[in-house]
Amino acid sequence: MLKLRALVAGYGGITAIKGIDLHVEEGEIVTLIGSNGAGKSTTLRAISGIIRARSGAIEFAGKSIDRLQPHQIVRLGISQVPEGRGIFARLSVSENLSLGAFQRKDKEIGSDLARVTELFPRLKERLSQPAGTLSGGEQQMLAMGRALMARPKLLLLDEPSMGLSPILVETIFSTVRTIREQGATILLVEQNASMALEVADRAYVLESGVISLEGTGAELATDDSVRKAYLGES
Amino acid sequence: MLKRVLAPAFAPVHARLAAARADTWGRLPGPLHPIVWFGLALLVLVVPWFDDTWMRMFFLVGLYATLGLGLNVVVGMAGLLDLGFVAFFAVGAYTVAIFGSPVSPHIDAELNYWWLVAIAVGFGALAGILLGLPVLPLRGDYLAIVTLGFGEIIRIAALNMSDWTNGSSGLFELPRPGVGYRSIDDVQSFYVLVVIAAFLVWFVTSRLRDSRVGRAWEAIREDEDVAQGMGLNTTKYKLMAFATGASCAALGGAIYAPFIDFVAPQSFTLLVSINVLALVIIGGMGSTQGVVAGALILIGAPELLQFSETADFLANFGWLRSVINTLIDGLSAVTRLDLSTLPPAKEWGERLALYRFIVFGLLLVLVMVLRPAGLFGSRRRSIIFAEDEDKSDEVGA
Repeated sequence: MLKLRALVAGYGGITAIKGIDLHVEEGEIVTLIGSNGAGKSTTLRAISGIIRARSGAIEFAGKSIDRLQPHQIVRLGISQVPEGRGIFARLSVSENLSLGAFQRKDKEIGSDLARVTELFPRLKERLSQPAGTLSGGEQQMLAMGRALMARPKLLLLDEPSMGLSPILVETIFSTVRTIREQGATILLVEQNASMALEVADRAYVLESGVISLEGTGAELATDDSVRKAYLGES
Repeated sequence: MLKRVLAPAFAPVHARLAAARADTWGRLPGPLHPIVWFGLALLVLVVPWFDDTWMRMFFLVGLYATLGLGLNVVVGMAGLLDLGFVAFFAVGAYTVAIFGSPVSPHIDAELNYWWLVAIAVGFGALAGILLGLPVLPLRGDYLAIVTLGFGEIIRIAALNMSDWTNGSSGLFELPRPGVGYRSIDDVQSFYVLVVIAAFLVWFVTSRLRDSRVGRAWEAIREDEDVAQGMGLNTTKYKLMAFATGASCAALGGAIYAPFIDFVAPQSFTLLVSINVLALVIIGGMGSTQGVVAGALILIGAPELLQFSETADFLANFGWLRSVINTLIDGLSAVTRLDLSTLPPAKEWGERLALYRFIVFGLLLVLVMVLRPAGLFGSRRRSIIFAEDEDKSDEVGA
């Protein structure tokens, strides 16, 4: 469904990702783990078109998307939950959600809103509240709900567990599973490697801009080097 | 009563409007409040009660309110800090002047004034887009500096392109706006004209704010990257914000030009940009009432402080003078201070006019200290918070 080939991207003089290949098949949860500055977020930003790929190719559903504008990419069915949630703090929760459906003109936006608030009941109670007044976990739910409002085929999740309590992290990850069951494909970027490997079908380890390891979630979770570097075991 | 009689007749229309509203983005404002219409009628009706000096002040307040409403789109809604707003005001004024004035060496189109207004608004929008294109990647402070430069470029260009603009001698004998055979020449009619323009701009911008476009602007203001990630074509909406704001300013310029009947570069200084921005901030960003209140304070107050009526009014407070002077004398007697006493009340107006900018500055500082979000916060925000309060009331009960 999504294919990156020898993708190179970066900011100004810095090359953050140095030629990575990865693919995501329909219905999968694929995770990209790695430490700070490994290039995880850059990869997502390149896929969604917010930064330009310097070289290499990005293909989505058989179509090259590396020269498209971000709004055209969203229209093709890729939507993202940005790092740090990126909610519109001074707009209400329901306005945030409707902005997720900005490109849609069909009649089912209302029923999708109901679906999202069913997935995140906490949001339903707070629809008219300014989004900036939500707690961190609720903001993460809002960011995910907003991305779902676009009815994405592929959902890009950038560090959904960041800054959340362990219980909330559990909730978020079980929601990730539910979202997949409802038919979306997910590319998940995480620093919380143990949770990410548990939920993922396949995983890639990114180190200083190159992919150093890949395999199924279970394989990597038992891999010695991964256990040492990312799971905090000796 | 009348409403009850008419309601059935309008019911289907209202139902269709409500459905259309629900279809778009949910909560759009209802039809105009009767108080708004009442206010509009009142504004026009006060005209015969004031002399030309006062009407001139009212005209300027209306003009700056128009500009402020336009800038509000750019700064308040889309969050793009524009310090060169005067450029578009100048574009509007110069469009009318170059096409309409016989002094302009190149073009003698002899177009009807109203056509010139339409052309000016179009040129304004075009100038907005032309400024918008190069500054698209810029944000915050950087955007402010570049727009600041743009404002100066237009003024200096007007000064130096004397083939077209007659340089610092300016353009005059502009075409007058006319209705039928009667051409508008007096301050009162210009005031009515500028009030109509302000209402037009208010109507268009407030409808835009509550539409899909307004929602996109607010998303860009809150976080441009994320807005892009949501599938908004940020380029398009940013250019739209610049174009909308600029055409409002150009409309203001097109009305201002025949009013002073002299279009020259010295009218389009940085101070105009700063005044417009300041009145938007003083009034409360994103709020319409705020812009009008801001225009009244920023443009009205300095004028008002030097009117003879103000001096006459202050002269009535002679009794206050003796009270204060007694206090001052008392203080001087008890302490070693040597304070001077107040001048006679007749001179207060004169003194006030002399020091009006100090008083004015003090007023601005006071407003910002007492109400940091401006006189009126944004209306949309207050709607959201009001709903919250309703809910917490329910919970409490």
